[in-house]
Amino acid sequence: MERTAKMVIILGANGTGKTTLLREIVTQSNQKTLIVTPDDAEWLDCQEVELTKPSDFVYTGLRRHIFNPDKDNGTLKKLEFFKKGIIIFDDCRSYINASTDIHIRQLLIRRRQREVDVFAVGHGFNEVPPVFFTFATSIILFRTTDNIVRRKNCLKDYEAVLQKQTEVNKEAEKDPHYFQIINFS
Amino acid sequence: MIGESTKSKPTNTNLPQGDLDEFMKEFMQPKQDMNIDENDGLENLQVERPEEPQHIQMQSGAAKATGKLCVTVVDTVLPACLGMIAKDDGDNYKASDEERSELEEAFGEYMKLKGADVPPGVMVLILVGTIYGTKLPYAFQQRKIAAAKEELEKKEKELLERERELQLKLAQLEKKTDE
Repeated sequence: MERTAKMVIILGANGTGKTTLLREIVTQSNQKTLIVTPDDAEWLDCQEVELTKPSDFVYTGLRRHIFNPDKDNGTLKKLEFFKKGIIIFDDCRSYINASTDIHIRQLLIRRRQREVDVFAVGHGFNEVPPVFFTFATSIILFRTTDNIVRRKNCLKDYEAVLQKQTEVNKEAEKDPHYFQIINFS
Repeated sequence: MIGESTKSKPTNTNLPQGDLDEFMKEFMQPKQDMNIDENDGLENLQVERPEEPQHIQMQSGAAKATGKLCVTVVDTVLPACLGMIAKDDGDNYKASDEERSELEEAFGEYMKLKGADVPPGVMVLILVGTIYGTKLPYAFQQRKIAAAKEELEKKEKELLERERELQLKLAQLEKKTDE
């Protein structure tokens, strides 16, 4: 049985276990994975790619691209060349903004044709740009402390997600790594 | 491991919900085959490269500061104008914090690429103009109100004087009638 490409949002405060879970998911799936991260202290075990030559897009295993907004020369646009794998936008609020939304939107629209699963990771609802919520197929929700109301217009079922946030935060008082997976049909 | 120790529990919302095992079971399935090749289009990567580096006209810090100034100007002048049109409080038309930060980022990016370095003197002038310029219509309105008030007070004074004269005349007439 075949599935369509996913758009998964992972939300959680510091230390809740987002990266650990993500590692487990990508390792198990055994797909070519590109991690876009603004932090050069994250994903240290992954080979770094500049996204400037074809071999930066065709490989096996995990690679990371350090996104420096001041030195960037079109990383998000170049992601259109990435096919058959997983792209992870770690801490995406730091480098995706109104002026880069167009490339992300294109990527999310074309992800099925390019066979690319997309993961967007943030510390809370307001730390992931609205464009991801529009196309989300699932949200993996750890403890979050921010106010969800700003994402009211782009969340598919705002009231239900708000209720989930309350539940998760309550459970997280007992288990800080607690999470729920919300699927949007 | 987190994924094995923590399972999501079913709740009573309408959203479909799954635990990690279900998620992974689906995620491990092959993706719909779109008959594409990973190498497709990569030859264009070389062609596009020379075009991609954009000429940075401005340093990031300066661009951000100028972008912030532009947003302050826009977010002061436009709400004031909209407020005047709607005869409403201009604050109701101001951008939210999130909209402001998105505008600041967009303006900052634009400044960085196009370069629009504003000299400090001009920056101060723009800020003064923005802060006090939007108060001008209010000042004119206040002036109009004060003039109208003055006119009304003058009329009131005249009327009171006339009333006093009339009362005096009436009293004289009554006196004559009594005689």
